[in-house]
Formats: sequence, structure tokens, C-alpha cells
Amino acid sequence: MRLLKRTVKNYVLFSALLLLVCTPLYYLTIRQLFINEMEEELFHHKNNFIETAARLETEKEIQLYQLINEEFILTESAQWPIADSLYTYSQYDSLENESIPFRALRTSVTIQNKHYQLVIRESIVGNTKLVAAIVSVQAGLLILLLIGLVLINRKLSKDIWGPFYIILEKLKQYQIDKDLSIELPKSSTVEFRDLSEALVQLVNKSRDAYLNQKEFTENASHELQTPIAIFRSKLELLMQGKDITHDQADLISSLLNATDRIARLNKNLLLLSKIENRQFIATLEVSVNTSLYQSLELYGQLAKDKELEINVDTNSELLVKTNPILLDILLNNLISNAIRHTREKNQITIRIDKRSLQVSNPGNPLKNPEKIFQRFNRESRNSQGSGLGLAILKMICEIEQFEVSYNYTQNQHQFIISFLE
Amino acid sequence: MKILIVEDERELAKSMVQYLRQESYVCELAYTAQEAIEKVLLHEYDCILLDISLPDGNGLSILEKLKKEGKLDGVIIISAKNSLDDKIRGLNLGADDYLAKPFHLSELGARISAVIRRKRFDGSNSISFHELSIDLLGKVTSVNSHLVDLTRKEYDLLLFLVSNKNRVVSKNAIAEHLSGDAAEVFDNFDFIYAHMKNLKKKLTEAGSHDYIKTIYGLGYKFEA
Repeated sequence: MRLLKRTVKNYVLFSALLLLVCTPLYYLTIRQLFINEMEEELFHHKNNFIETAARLETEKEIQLYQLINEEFILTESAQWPIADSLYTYSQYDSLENESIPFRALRTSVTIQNKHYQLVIRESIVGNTKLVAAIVSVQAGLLILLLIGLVLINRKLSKDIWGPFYIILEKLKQYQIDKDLSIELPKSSTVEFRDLSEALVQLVNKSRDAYLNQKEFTENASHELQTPIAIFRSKLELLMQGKDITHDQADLISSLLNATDRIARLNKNLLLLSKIENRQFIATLEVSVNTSLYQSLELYGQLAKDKELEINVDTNSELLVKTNPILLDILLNNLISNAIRHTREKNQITIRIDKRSLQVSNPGNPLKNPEKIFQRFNRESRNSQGSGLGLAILKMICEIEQFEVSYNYTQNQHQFIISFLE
Repeated sequence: MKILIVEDERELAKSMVQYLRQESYVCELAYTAQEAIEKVLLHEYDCILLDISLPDGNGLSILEKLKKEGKLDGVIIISAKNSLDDKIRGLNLGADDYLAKPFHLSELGARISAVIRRKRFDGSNSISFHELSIDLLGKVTSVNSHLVDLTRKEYDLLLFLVSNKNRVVSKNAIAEHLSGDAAEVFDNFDFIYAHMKNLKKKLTEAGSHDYIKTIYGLGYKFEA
């Protein structure tokens, strides 16, 4: 839920609750006040009547008086005295065609030594209407207040939170590996200004760390080249000795092999970081078919040694806009991987379609196929590989925006590279 | 033959000197760009090994200086960077070859002998050794003037061994020399053994002395 909605929601809920609870309360209170007022009035009328009635002399006068003041209902009563009592009743009015509620006071009076029951009544229709009118005006005002509150709040929030949304949008668009720095708006609100400053600092720090880490691998690999060269050269000098025993020869040979592996590993790490650092940029339109045949020539001897049959099935010429060096590395890695992991006297199949390249070779299923493209993820420790070949392949695909997928079907490992149009 | 080694890593420089001395090369050392420039201006060298990342200046600027002085012949750039840009720039400036660290000393030996041969014989060169003769232009080998039918790999192998004669060349160096990057896919070096067996057989059958000796566990040696 948006911050704006969240604040407004609370205001609206509170105001609605207030409106719902207070309107009936208000109505009831006002009504009660009116009725109290009316009752006082009724007693006041009674006193007036008693005063006036004392001056009436004949029965006729009494009747006339009653006719003029229709709120007085005077009836002869045997029961006397009657205690004052207040009550409400309804009476049907044929003119208005509705029943009209009255508030009435029943009491007793004595006129000319005769006992009467006196009922003084007053219609409360008018009063109720007045109360309703007052309450609805009041409610209307409350509703208007509420709407105003929401609108003003929304407008204010929009203005106040504006810089926040701009900052958020800028952060979403920021890419650490592409953008140099980040520009955030300068707000006059202290909190947002602080936020902007803190974020710019954070982004710059992260970017520095990212660049350092990126450069580190490359620099470390570079620095390692010289000691490896020294080590290898000393071994080669050691080899030249005249009286080397078989045991010593075996030791030197093991050291030479280990040095080869270190050198290879370092070379591939360097290559990987160079690809990651986008040092291969120039692109050309290259034929995958041609590059593939070159690569097959490079590894032909190896396939021959293992008596592997490589079937190439090309349906069409596949032209791709890419860096030719990266394409060569990609194909070499794909093919050497297939050759390395195929047992002797088997068959490797390569297919070139309109927009894709497919390499499949037979083999046992992998234990962790989902980790196949991870660095240094090797199924067996015996392999002489650097553990970086497929990671490099994946990285090239990411940089060049090719799609690479691996699957295992019918005892075949299958790599598919899709080149987008 | 005089070789100048420009390399700031003293241990590596020492290794190179020691290895090349066995081939009767006279080696001089320069550890800094300044020293290198002084030496180049004073002496003539058959080959200059130039490390392009020196502490007191980029080696490529030395290369430019050499070009100005007209002493560019026989420069092999040695670099820890192995970057294509450096390679292209170096070769464009007129260097003869480019070798990335870490290299095998035998590979260095082969490159140096190729550079020197090219320089000396003006391109039309051959290596003769008693009854054995290798024509580098035609890439053909003959024994007592009779052609020996060698495959491309066998020819490369022979030339590599001859360029490092009297020194043990490791199977690792041979594999890398013959197959380049593809060498890393080989789990063992059996394929070298097969090539070597064929080469030796073809040479001896043609009447050549068996110059190639197998050194147990390590590799091979062309013994003169």
C-alpha cells in the first residue's frame, strides 16, 4: 500500500467513525434538549391557563377559551385531584394524512368550583423536523470537512513526497556495472536531502568496491604470471641436469604438470575477468559455420586420438554480429568440453540451424546439472580442466546476449546456443 | 650471437640467460628501460627480448625509440598481459614476435632461433646438421638430400627440437607448441609419443642418425 493511501486511509476511517457515532448522539441530545424545553413550556402554559381560567365566569366562556386555544383539552372529571404527568402520544390527522406525535401534560384544575381534567399538548412534529435539519446540516459540514481533509492531505503528500518518488525511480534505474555515478534531486526537505546524500555515498562506495573487485582478479592474475614464469623456467633448467634419477624425473614431471595447470587456470581467470570487464568490444558479422570448422580443425587431432566421430549437420549459414575472438573462445570451449567428456569411440553431434547451434555428446547424467555453468564446479576431481571453460562460455553468452541452455535427454548432454536476430 | 634480455624480474632473466647460454648465445641483461636504451645505442644485438612492463616506463616506448634508431630487427616482446591490444600494437611497431608469460624456455628458444634465422638468411633459409637438412621456406626435410615425407606435426616437432638442441624439452612444452590452447584438453601426452615414434622411424629409415633421445619421465632431447 502506498504511503499516501496509508495516511489518508487512517484519516478517512477516523472521520467516518466520528460521523457514524456522533450524528445519532448529536441527534438524540438535541432532541432531548428540545423536549425538555417543551415540557417547561407545557408547565408554563398550565400556570397561564390557571391564571386565565380564574377569570372565566360562565361555562360558555370556558368553552370559548378552549376553542381558541386548541392546545388545551378541558374535560369534567370525577377524579380529583390528578397528579401532574407528562406523556407522548400520537393522533391521526386526516388533513395531513399522517399520525402526529404530541407531548402532553395531564393535570387537574378547578374552575368555578367545578373539577376538570386538563390536558395541555404540543405537537412535536415541528421540533423533530428542526432537529433533523440541524443534524443534517451538521453532518453535511462534517462530510465536507472530511473530503477537504482528504484532498488537502493528498495534495500535500504528493508535493512533499515528490522528491522521494524521484529518488526511488533513479535508484531503480541505476545499474552498477553500467552507470558511472548517480544524480539525485536536491530537495528542500531536510530528511530527503539527507537521504539523497546518504544514497549517493552508498552508491559511490558500492561502485568503488565493485570496480576494485573487478580489477582485483585481473590484476592478481597479471601479477601471478611472472612468478609462474619463474617457477616454470627453474623447473626447465632443473630438467637439464645430467644425472637425474628416475625418482627425480618423476618429481620434476609432476611439478611441470602442476605448473601447467596453474598457468592454465590463471590464464582462464584472466580471460574470464577480461570478458567480464568487456575488453572485447569490436563486433563484426561472423559466420558461425566458418568459425566452427576452424575450431574443429584445432581439436581434430584430439578427436582422432580418442577415435571420436564428429557429425556436423548444417542446414544453413548462420551469421552472427559478435566479437570474433569471443565467438572462437565460445566454440572452442563447447567443442573441447564435448571431446573431453565423451568416452572413446563415441559420437559427437553438432547441428547448425537458422538461429541456433546445438552440440550433443553421450555420457552419464550429471549429479548437479543446475551448477554446470558455475565456476570451479567439476563433476570429478580427476579432470585436468581448469573448471572455468563453461563459466567463460556462459559469460560470453551474457555479454553477447546469446541464450545458452543445457539439458540431458536420451543419454545425451546437449548444449544449445540461440543467437537472437 | 648476442642477445639482450630486457626484464626487470631478475630471477626470470637469470633463467633465460642460463638456458640460452647452453646454445652458445651471449646474453646481456638490462633490468630497466634506461639501461636497455643505453645498451641498445652502444651495441648491436641479434635479438632483443623485451619485457614491455618495466618499472621505469612502458616497454612499448622503448620499441618506438628502437624504431627511430633503426634497430628494430629481432625484437621479441615478452608480456605478462597477453592482451591482444598490446600484441597488435607491438607487432605494428615492428616487433618480430610476441610471447606471453608464463612461457616455456624451450618455446622461447624456438622463437629466438626463428627470429635469428630470418634475420640472418634474409628469408631463404635452411638448417643443416650433418646428413639432416631442414628447408624452412618449403617446410621440407631431407636426409642426405633425399626428401623425408613428414606430416605437418612431425615437421613442427623436429624443428622445435632442433631449435633447442642439446637441451631437454618437456612433453608439456611440446604439447603446447604443437596444439596451442587445445593442449589443455589432453589428459595425457600420449599423442606426442605417437608423433615422436613416427618421426624417429621416418628419419632413421631415411638413413639419419637417431639424434632424438628420450629422457625418462621428462621429455626429449635432440643430441648433436
